[in-house]
Amino acid sequence: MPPPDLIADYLDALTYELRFDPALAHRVRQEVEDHLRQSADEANNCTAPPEAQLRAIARFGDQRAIARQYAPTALLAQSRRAGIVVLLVLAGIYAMMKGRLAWYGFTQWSLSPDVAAIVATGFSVVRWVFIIAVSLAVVGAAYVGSRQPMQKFDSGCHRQLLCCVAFCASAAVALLIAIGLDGIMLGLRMAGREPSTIVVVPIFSMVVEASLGILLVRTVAEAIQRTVAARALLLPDN
Amino acid sequence: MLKGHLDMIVLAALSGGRAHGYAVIQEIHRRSGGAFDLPEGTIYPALHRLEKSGFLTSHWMTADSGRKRRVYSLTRRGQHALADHRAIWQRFARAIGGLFGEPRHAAARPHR
Repeated sequence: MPPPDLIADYLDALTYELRFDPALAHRVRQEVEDHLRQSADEANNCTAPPEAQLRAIARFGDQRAIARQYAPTALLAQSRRAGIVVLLVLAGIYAMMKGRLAWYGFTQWSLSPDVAAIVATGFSVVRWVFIIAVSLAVVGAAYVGSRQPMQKFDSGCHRQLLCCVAFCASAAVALLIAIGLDGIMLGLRMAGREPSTIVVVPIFSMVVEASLGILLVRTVAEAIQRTVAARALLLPDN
Repeated sequence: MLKGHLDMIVLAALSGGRAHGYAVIQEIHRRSGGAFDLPEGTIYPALHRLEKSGFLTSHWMTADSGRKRRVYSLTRRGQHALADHRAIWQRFARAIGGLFGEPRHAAARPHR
């Protein structure tokens, strides 16, 4: 029976504790493996392999305590990335909306009086929802930008990171509502209209908006998931 | 006390040239005369943090053992930060040395 590979078990546990950042976990695993194997190889000269591995692991420290030290910098960087995505999506959606309106004007897109009234109300709602999204994004960007990585990952630090992702999430929700309403209004404009080259531009801009929305959902959901997962690091060491 | 100065210690350990995490720990142990015997795992988050702050740069290389190894070196910014830390520490050490040294004040001795 081959001797147990304690280092591999330790690395699995460390990777699990670092699950709030898979790319970081992969990098740390490779780096720490080199360290532990070298440490165990050097100790092998005076002791048996499993004991040398145990000693190397003991000198290295508790995996949760180590993961906790990575968390403040890694999670704040993720929140900042999510914040940047929110701002970029905001700019993209604004450009698409403005472009579509300019296109309607340019092509003298006509609507029946009933549809025109609904679209005017819808446009007003979208504008306000968009303004709310911009406000949340600006306040959130200011909040996230003003945070400095804390030296220690404790409940205060975790609360601060949750606050960062909450700003991103609320701005994202407002933007998704704006995209949804935009889609409904485009549908109303298209209803009963013959397919022609004129409709290609609004449809294309709506596809771009929807793609930006998907990107937004994925980014923000990932940031929330990872920040929430990091709560496990607040538990006592193994 | 050690925790607050870990970044400075890591920068100082890398002042001799590029090294991987294990070598950084050995260098700290050697240069401190074994006084700094911190858990080895604490060095890696510090290296990562210093790299993110632009004080260090790193790249992967293959060690003689065939394993992948990440090697760190000081950036220009890291060298400046180390020089600043060193100057502050030397002033502090002189001041503490003065306080703990022989009292030279005549006024400090009781008058007869």
